[in-house]
Amino acid sequence: MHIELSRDLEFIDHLLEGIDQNQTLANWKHFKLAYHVADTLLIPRSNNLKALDQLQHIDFLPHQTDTANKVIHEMNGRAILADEVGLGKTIEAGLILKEYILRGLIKKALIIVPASLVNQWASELHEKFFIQTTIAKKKPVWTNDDIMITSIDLAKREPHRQAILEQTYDLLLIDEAHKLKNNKTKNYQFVQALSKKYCLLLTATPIQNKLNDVFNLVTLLKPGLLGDQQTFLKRFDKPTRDLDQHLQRLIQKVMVRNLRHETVLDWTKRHIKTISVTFTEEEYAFYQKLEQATIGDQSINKTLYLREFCSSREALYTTLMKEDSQLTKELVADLEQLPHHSKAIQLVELIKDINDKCIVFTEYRATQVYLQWLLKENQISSVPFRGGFKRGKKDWMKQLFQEQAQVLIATEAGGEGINLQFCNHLINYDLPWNPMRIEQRIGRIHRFGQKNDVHIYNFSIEKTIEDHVLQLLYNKIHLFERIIGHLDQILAELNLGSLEKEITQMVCESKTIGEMKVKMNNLAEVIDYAQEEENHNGNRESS
Amino acid sequence: MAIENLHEFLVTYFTINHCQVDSNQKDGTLDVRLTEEMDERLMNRPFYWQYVRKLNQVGTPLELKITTQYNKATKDRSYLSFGTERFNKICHDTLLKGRFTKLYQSIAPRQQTALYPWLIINVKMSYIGKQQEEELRSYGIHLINGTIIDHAFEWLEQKEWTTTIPDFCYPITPLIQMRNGYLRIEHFILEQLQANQHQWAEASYQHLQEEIQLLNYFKEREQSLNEAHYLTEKENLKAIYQPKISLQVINGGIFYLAQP
Repeated sequence: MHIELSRDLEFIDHLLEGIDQNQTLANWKHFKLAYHVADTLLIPRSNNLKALDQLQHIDFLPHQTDTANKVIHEMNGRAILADEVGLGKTIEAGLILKEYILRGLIKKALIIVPASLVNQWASELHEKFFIQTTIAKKKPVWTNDDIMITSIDLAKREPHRQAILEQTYDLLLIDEAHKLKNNKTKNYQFVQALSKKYCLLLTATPIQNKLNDVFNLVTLLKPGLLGDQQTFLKRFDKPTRDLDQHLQRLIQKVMVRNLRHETVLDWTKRHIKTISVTFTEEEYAFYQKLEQATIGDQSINKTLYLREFCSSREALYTTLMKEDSQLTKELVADLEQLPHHSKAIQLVELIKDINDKCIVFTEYRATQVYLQWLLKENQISSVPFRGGFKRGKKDWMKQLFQEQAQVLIATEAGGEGINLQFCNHLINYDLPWNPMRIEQRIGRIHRFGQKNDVHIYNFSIEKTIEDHVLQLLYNKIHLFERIIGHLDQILAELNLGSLEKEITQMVCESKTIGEMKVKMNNLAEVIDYAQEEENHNGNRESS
Repeated sequence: MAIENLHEFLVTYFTINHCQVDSNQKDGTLDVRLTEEMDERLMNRPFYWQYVRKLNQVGTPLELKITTQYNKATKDRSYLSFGTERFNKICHDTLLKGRFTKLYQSIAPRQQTALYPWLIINVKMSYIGKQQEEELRSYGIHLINGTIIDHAFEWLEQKEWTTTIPDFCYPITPLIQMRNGYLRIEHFILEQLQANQHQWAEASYQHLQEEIQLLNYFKEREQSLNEAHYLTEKENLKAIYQPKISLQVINGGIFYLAQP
């Protein structure tokens, strides 16, 4: 064994120089104080976190300090942080980063986060952790020894890409790392090629469900831990209980995943309310026409049309205008005759009733614009929020919402990463067919820091596709009450893959509404059964 | 000894740097009237001072209002605690100012008294591997007879020191050159290190070998890993696990003592 030694070759020269040239030398008080300061800054051997004495103003939760401890002392700084949404992954990452900085082990770091979160990361690290960062803007200097925050899109563009690849980072941190699950993508290969000592991958999406994703993420951190890809996939493809446990153990070497129900946090309650809306006769007639018109058509558009019409006339209109056929022209003509959307009118009533801040989520931009207009007509102030907004605008909108407006109307892309725990009413104006996205939405307000019970309102129009999905599927599998965590895993075990695809297929392939209902019912039964099974097993294991 | 009372530390720090301090221990508040020098060192406004000097005017140093209690902080009174930027700056400044010294034992003899030269250095030893640990050691060498002592600082702390030669005292010129003395201390430290068991290093080295094996295994079977990437990854692993010991002198200087 060889231990590297680094000596101090400069001190004595400087001392001699200072004495020879009669420079001002320290008096005893200064000399002594310097000694005490040096002593204060030492890293003790005990496995405590030095950063905790320095961050006394933050009330860390036990699972957060445990995680930081584990990552530093057991995983040696290479880990996947996969807590459920809202448990404070950023806090954990900040704490780990701070600890390493204090230990003098990190000087140069690269933090890659979604473009929309760049500012939030910078301000959080600065305000909470007193960590100075630089945001990569137009002409970032990659060669500096500092902590740089960038989006992947900027980083992977030349000339930045090349410059970044030439650096050696003490730490690489990637937020929303599940986006890197495919090793064929440029992003993945770029990240893989980076030279880094420590590495933190943050993700809220459980990665256990797809073997390939697991393999790719873990391999970024520790090439070889799961062997090579082919052997790995072959070996774990047909899961048995033993193999599964073996895999879990391997993954636990590099992954920390805290679940809400395991944390000591006193979570506020979720109150779920379904708000049924009845279409007017005219509207329903149009809906049926839409359904009939598209029934023979196997293309995916059918479900899209129906879903859009359940959201707003404008949403459907935008799509129809893009296609130029006899059918769409006819539909557009009919559509133009319709009055205000029943759901939108109901929404206005609801918001008046709530009489407090609320977030409205919709899937469609056109609906967002329409709702904003409609609310304004009714003297309700609102601000829009979209994924496409520039960073500054997002921050500004959030602030406007917090300080002035009653309503924030967000499209799906706005779901990630903004924290709005000052608000406790959430309205799902229309619902995504991807359960993970629903959890992301709820996670915006039902998170660490929320002081009140959370109210979730789900709109659904009777006798429409929306109704079916909500009543037959979501409510049946208790989607809104339970934290999703396991659902993805269950879907994977059932070999279902994505629920979105499943529903779309169901709707498209069914010849009659009845058939579709039966299929959906069946799906719900299967999922519910698997969930109960899981709970049962889970309880047994923990008892 | 580490700082236990931050508030007291700050009062000391500003006082020995000739600033006027109004302190309220209960609220953790400190109002510090900075000197020009301290303003320049701490407040980070070089352009102001440049400007003032260019115009041949007298600048006005700022008044620094801080508190060591988080909930007492306001818009005009910033929070200062271990870990804040300002604290780091103060630490940096303290270390810089207290780095080199030449001191005489403060005594008042009635007759001619010889003062013997010692080279004293305070060294931060860092043991870096899978786990990390640091310690502060203090060594001294008698520059006449070559005796080396450990825990020198504690010994010095019991005496009083001054920057000028006391009356009736005369310093003896070192027989051993300072540089040579330094090398002797270093040699002494290295010998001690060699005699020690370094289980932490063994463990870390072991771990490094395991990690490299894993990587080699992966390389043999996975085509997607090219040579360059393999080498980078190997360096990365070494950067984490390769055991290192580093010596860094925090401060030191020549001390003239009355006893031989």
